[in-house]
Amino acid sequence: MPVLLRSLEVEGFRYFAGKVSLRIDEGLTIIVGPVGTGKSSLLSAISYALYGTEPGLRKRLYLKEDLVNVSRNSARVVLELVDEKGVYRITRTLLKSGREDASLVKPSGDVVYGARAISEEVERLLGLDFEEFYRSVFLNFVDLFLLAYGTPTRRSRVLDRLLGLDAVAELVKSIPLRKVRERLERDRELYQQVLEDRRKLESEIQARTKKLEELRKKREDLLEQLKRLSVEIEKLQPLKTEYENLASSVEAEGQALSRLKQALGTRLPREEELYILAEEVRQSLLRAAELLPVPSELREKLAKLDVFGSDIRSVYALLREASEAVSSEYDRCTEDFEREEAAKLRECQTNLKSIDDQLIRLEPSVRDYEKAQQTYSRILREVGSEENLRGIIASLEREVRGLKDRLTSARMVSELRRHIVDELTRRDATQCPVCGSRVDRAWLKALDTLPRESIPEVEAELKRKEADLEKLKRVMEELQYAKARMIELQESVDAYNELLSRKEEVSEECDALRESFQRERQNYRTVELHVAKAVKDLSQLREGVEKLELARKIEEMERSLQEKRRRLEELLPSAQACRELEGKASKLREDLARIEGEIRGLEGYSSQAQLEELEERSRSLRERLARLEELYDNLAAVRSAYEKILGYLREQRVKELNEEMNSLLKLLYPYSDIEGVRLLVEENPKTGRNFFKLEVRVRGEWTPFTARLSDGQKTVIVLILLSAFFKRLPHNAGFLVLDEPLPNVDEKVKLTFMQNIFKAAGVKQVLITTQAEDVVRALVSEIEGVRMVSTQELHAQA
Amino acid sequence: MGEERFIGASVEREVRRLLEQELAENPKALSLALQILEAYTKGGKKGVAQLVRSLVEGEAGAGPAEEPRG
Repeated sequence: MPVLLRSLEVEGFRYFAGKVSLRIDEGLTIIVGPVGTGKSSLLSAISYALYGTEPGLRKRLYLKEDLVNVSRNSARVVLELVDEKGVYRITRTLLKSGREDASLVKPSGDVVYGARAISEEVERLLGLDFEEFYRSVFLNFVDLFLLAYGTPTRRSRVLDRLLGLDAVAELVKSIPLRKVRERLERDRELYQQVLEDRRKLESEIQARTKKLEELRKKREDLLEQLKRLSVEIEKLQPLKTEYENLASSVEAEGQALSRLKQALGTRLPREEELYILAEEVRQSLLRAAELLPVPSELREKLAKLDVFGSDIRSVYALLREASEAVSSEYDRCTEDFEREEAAKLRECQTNLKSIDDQLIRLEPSVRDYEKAQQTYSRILREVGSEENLRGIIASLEREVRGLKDRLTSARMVSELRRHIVDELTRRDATQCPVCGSRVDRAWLKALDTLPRESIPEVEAELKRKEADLEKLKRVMEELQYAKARMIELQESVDAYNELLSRKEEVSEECDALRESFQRERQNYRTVELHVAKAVKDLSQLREGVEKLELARKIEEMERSLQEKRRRLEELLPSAQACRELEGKASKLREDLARIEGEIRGLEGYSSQAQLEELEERSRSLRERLARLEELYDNLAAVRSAYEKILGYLREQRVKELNEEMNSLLKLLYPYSDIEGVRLLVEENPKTGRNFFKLEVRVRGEWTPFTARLSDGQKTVIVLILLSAFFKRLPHNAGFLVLDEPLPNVDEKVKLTFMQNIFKAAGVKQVLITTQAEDVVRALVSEIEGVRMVSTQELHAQA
Repeated sequence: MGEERFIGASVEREVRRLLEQELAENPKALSLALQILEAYTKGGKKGVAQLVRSLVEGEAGAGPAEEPRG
């Protein structure tokens, strides 16, 4: 018994958010509903339950997790199949994360877990893998449309897919023969290039070897020439050396002679002049020696020297010696004199300065003393003596005291009288407050007759006397202060006077010393003049003597130079010949060095490694080329074989299909206008590739099925073609799934198709989706065994 | 169904049989054809391209193909 569908349960799968159950009996089950209500989702659920995939996923139109309804986190599909052994229950759960769980419960009760294991079980059960199931059991509207209305190329592609040959066609195309050929050609070019490189390198090596031999021979020749030249040079070398030494000596001596002549100048002194000058030197030195404490021997030697009777050079030497001795003595004496006499004078001047400093310090005291003395003398002149002044002051003091008493009495009497007068103005008589006697106005008149002291006069007298007394007291104080000051400063004045005496003495001493110093210095100046003249004349004498010497030396050098120049002339030809030979030898050595450098460069350059590398590369490339050529040949043979097999399979399938299609045409198509149908495999003359051609016979003539047929007829022919595919494929599926197969055919065709599809396809169960609910309701009423399932009702059930 | 296949099992079997007939006299080509068939079945066009690339480069993995089955 073939495998049949039994029931389907979906929850959260594609368009179905809620749980939906569908029982699928034998016969025709038509799922109806408007667009977007989930008809195809139910068919998709069957495919997913069986194989864990479905057409949209396989075409990569969406991802597996997109199968989960947008409002749910997981999808669950349960499909029951049945065969002679019993019921198979497949459950697949898919999470939004993409995770899947699956189980298959067999009729025996055994459970198979895991998506892969279940898919393998289904393949075994139906005898179809997914690809085969999809192209033969699961017939869909897209394929129908492409077959009916697509271009020949697309139609051929769909037919290839339905025949299961699309993969073979793709496989043939996928064999990269062109790429391998290109690679092969590139490698051949590379190999040729390597061979060319190797040939070039070999030529280079040959040329280098030849060049090396030539250079070595050249080197030998040069060495031989050098050897010969060396022998000749060796012979001439001593003469050339002598010539060069002599030449440099002559040059040096010539320069020296020139310098000497320049030093000698134009005027050569006469010998007589030099003797006279020497005598003057002797005289000057002798005068100086007489004024200085020089040894007597020196003085005698100078005195006895016979200048004109001696050789001028020995005279000069003796005079120079004497001059040095006299000069030295003069220096020593002047130095001693300067040191000792000047020290004495400095000491004396220092003493004088010290006395001056002390005097300056004492001068303020002396001035104070003189001032006090003047004050004292002036006062004494005014008052006579100090005792006299004291007497005057004492007398004035007594007078002031008397005046003060008189003034007091007068003031008291006046006050008493004023008191008594006041009393008597109030009464006739009163009592004297002093003596207590009675006093009246008469007494008062009598009193007025008595003489009375004048208070203002007394007061004026007293004031005058007090002023005089004060003045005298101040004079007395001034006198006493001046006296005390004189006593206090007396010591300083005495010291000052003593210093003045001392200063006079020291000043006289300094003047004496300075006079002596000047005198001595004058003496030394005289000596200095003699010495200076002697030194100057001696210098002139030296110059003269030296010039005489120089003249003699120049004469000798000129003679020597003349001799050397004569010898140089003799040596010149040999030296020149030697130089020429040396120049030639040097040039030869340069050539030799260059050649040896070239030889070293050629010997050091190893081409062997490069040649070996090239040989290795060519060998490797040769091997690779051989491999690639073999691979290319084999690939070409393989591709050719695949193409042949593809053509053979197409023809084979077409032949079988044509028989099946004509048989199904009679069953499924209720009219007689289409007499036959056939599929042809033809070759495209441009591409050389095969393509399918579907033709129908109408009124005895074969024409392309797209040319004569209506849309409905095309659909039927295509369905017949698909059914033929289903029938020809060996499998164990007892059901057929058709997704929107009859969109545009009339009712008669539909009825005929529905009635006969079971027989034509040899199945017991057909599942169809369609939007045409009215047509389906009519079908349900007319044909037995047809069951309609509305997706809207299913949604209501959820 | 197991891992993804790029050619149906029955077609693969039929092609294998026909290849063995067609290339019976050229064992090296047959071996290569079977390698290509297997590569395509498992990896599609990419699988074939990878196989041929490795053969071109002479890599160790691209050794002689397995003997034809059955």
